[in-house]
Amino acid sequence: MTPITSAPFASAALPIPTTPTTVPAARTGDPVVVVQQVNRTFKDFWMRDVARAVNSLSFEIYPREVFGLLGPNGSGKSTTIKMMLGLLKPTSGRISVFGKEPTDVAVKKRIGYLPEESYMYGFLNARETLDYYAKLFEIDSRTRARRIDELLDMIGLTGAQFRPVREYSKGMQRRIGIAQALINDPDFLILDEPTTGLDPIGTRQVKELIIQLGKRGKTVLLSSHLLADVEDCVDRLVILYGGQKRAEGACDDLLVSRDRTSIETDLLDEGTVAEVDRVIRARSGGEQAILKVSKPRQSLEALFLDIVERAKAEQVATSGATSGGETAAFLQGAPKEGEALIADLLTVRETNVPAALVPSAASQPAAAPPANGPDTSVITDLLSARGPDEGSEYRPGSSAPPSAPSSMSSPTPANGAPEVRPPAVDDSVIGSLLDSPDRPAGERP
Amino acid sequence: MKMRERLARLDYVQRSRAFKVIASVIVGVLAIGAFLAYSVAINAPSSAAITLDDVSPPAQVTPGGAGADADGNPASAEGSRADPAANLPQATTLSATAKLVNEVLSAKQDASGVGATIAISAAFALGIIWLGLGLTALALGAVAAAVVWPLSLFPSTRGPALMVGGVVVLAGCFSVLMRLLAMLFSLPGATFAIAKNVLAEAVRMKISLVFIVLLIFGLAALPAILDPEQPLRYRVQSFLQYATAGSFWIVAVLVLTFAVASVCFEQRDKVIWQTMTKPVRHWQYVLGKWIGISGLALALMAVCGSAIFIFTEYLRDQKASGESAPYVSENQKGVSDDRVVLETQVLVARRTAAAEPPEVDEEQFGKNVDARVEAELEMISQLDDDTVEIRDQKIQEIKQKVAEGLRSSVQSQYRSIEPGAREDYLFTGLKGVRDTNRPLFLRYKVDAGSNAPDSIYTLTFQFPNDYPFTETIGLGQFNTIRLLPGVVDADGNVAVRIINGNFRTGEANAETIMFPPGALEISYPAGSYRMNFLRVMAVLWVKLAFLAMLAIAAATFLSFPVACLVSFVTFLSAEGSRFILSSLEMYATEDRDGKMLLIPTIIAKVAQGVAGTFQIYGDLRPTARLVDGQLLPWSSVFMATTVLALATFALFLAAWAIFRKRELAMYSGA
Repeated sequence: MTPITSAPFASAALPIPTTPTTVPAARTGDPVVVVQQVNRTFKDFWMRDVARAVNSLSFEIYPREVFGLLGPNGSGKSTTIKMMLGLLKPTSGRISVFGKEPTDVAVKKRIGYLPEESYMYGFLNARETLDYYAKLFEIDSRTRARRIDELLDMIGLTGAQFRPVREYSKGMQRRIGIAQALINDPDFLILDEPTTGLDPIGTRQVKELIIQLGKRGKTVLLSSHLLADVEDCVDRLVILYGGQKRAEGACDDLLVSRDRTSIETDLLDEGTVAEVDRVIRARSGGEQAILKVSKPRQSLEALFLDIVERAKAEQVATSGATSGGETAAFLQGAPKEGEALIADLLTVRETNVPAALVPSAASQPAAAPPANGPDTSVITDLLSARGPDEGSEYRPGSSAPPSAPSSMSSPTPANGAPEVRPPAVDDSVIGSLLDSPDRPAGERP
Repeated sequence: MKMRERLARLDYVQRSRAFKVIASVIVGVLAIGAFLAYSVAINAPSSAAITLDDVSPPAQVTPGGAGADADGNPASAEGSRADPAANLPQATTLSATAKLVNEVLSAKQDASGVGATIAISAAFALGIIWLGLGLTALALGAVAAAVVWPLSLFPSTRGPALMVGGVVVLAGCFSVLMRLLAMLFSLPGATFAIAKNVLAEAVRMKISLVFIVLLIFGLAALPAILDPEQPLRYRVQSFLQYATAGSFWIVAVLVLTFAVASVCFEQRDKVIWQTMTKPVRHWQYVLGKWIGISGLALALMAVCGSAIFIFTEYLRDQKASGESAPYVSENQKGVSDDRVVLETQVLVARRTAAAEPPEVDEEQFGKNVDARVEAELEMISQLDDDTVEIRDQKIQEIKQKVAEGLRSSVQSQYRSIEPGAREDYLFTGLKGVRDTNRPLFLRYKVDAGSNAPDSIYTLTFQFPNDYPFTETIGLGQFNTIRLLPGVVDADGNVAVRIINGNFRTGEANAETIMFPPGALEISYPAGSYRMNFLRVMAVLWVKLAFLAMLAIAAATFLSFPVACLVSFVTFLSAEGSRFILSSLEMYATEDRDGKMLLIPTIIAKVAQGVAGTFQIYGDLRPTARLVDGQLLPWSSVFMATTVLALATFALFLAAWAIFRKRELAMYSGA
């Protein structure tokens, strides 16, 4: 397949749907975390200011969203997280978690935390480690035993569960760290650099787990500087630099290219490519043209996973951690039926929509179609099949959450193309879910 | 798979319910089988010795049996009797069995006694199994059998065999106690989870394991260093002193070091983040650490205390000096002096009454003080230059110093007897002893001159309504005179006159003798040694619990080396408070002209404050009391427990308050 990247349409006549008319369900309810004008300054022994790690930071995390906290090293990500957990106190400003102080013990019952490094008791083995942390949550013994078995299986450490943690590799320690963060089935999961030290399989599993938890209605805060990992998982993100917020918004809003169109086709010969270029030039009056023609590459991750899967199929021996099993049953939640299932499906996010149906310029404001514009019925049809749009206009430095659009109207194509469907319903997704309930996780654009 | 992993797996197996059930069934079957076999054997009809013929199949069988014909007539005897020649191995086995059975039957054992023994053994085995130590016990038993038994076969290796056996037993007891504690700490709640984690840390971290191993091996090896030629009472006292004090000090150092390390290293290594981001309150963390460390100290003191007690009882049953056999004197008359002292002054709980100094005529004393002050004032001219207030203040200081000096002189004079002179001493508060009809002991130590080791002094003692008698003694060592309860008068007083010389020959000793403080007392048995031992161990544990909280409190905000320093300095100050206070009496804070020296004065004030703070702690002296056979009464135990508990609670509050304010993500130590 050959991707075609062309310059944007000059008059922006394409009837692209506006931002959704209703507030996405993921952002209803009180925020899980509120960070208001928080500052954190580190002082030396003589109480002199040494470093300002966080500077007037404000953002909110809403229920049931996967929130990304990005930034380079030293940008204040971990400091912000530690303040959320009560390990540090803000110099000024206010932080609340579930409406309470971060140091409130009741709040901590609902939180799972994976620090940037796995700080474990080296003298305990994996089972004992999970048992200890489970006891801190006052989980009864039967539930504890069951969850420990499931988690050890999920992270692939069942075979090494009796080895002291200090003998684990970094990746294995990371896995046990993830397990202890999940032992209490938390409502709010904080993951600080979760994929550090993990091999690509583990990284993939963590990402799938995050997505699955997000689907289950958990709130996840993901902090990382590995952008590829974050991009696949998060709904909304904040980018920090020097302790300050530099950008905030939905992932798609921030990442989508507004001045390019990418089309992927089967393999084309040079003549066909030239013909397409000619059509584009003709339609745009010479102002637009094909900018680049290239062959898509399989990602290194996909290649790696393929090789490993084949090795597993051949049952090649390994002494390290095995690939984990299924997500622990208690983390998957009880299967929903009837009304509850339909209600869930009606509020499914746009990220569940197959990539082919997601336009690359989803958040562009609607523009009036040109009077004598080209026939855009095909593209319009494609775009109208897209689900509800969570994103909003990109507003750098904005601390307010993305608000619902003021206009409730849907764009009407000039050529009488079918009206855009209400964004809340996506029959294709509903159909596929009802037909095969066990959709594979991680199917995101 | 590494050994540690294997051991962890085996530990997991032995703690599983399936293993416990199977092992319990096996033990039950073995116990029942053993009892049934023994019951069958002792209920056998014939009491005569069993022969080989008796164990062979009987010649006559019941009708219809294998050996009978169709009419029920028995088969021939020849055909039915086992042929020894043809079955030689069977005959050998049978003869051994017959011999064993005969030995059992001839032992005149009561079936119920054997049954009780089997039942107790089975119950003990089941207890070990259900504690999750079945395989551990088997392993220790295998080690004991493999190592101890061969060594015990030879006289030259019996000592090491005993030591290894002691180590195995102590290790086993420690494992059982730790498992019991772990089960106790399995109660719900974060506090107990943290306490249980501390126990696991203690036996898996080198910093604590070293001390535990040192303690177990040291205790097991201690009997080997006792001099068998020493009188038994000195051997017992030496063992009690070294074992009790040594155990306490090793456990105290372990508690201090481990408590500091446990808290400091968790903060340094950020492991505490994983705990405190869970629903754990700060006081739960501090309390959990303290419970775990105190539990560890309890287990160690229980093991050590049991070992010390058992070995002391074993020593007690050895031959004392002057005995041909334990409790049998060489002259076949009564018991030896060594045995008497051991039983009446060492392995006993004695209450003591010190000699009361005579009452001072305060009026006369005042006059003497004034006279001395006048004499001093005449020698000091510089007061004339001072103002009236300063002059009066200085006169008061001089007066106080003179009065203290005079009282001290009176005391010393009371305790001293010049050559040929005599002194009367009165001991009060002994009314209860009179009615018990138990002997009392006058215990005394005499100093004279330089206490030359070859000096022999003769003293004369006289009690009311009794003839005087002499005692020939060495200097600088304690001596004892046994007294009948009749020496106590109706008011509960005992009066004794002591002459510095021999009244018979009229010879006086060369120098003035002196009874140092605490070296002239009457003591009497007021309780059993065993209960006293228990109280001593209880007080030692209370002290260790206090030290644990002290170390934890220091570790909440100090780095490891600084917290260790603070903890150890405090511990040593507490242990040495008596010595510090007595030393301060000799410590000069003024020069020869009476001028105050600043630095020594500051030192004295600080030392007095520190030692005074720990005076109650220092006055307990549990080990010294145990070694000297002195009573540690319940009142002292309760008072010590109350005071130390309050101090521990105060430290807990301080630790909690500090810990709450700490920002755990900031670490200020190295």
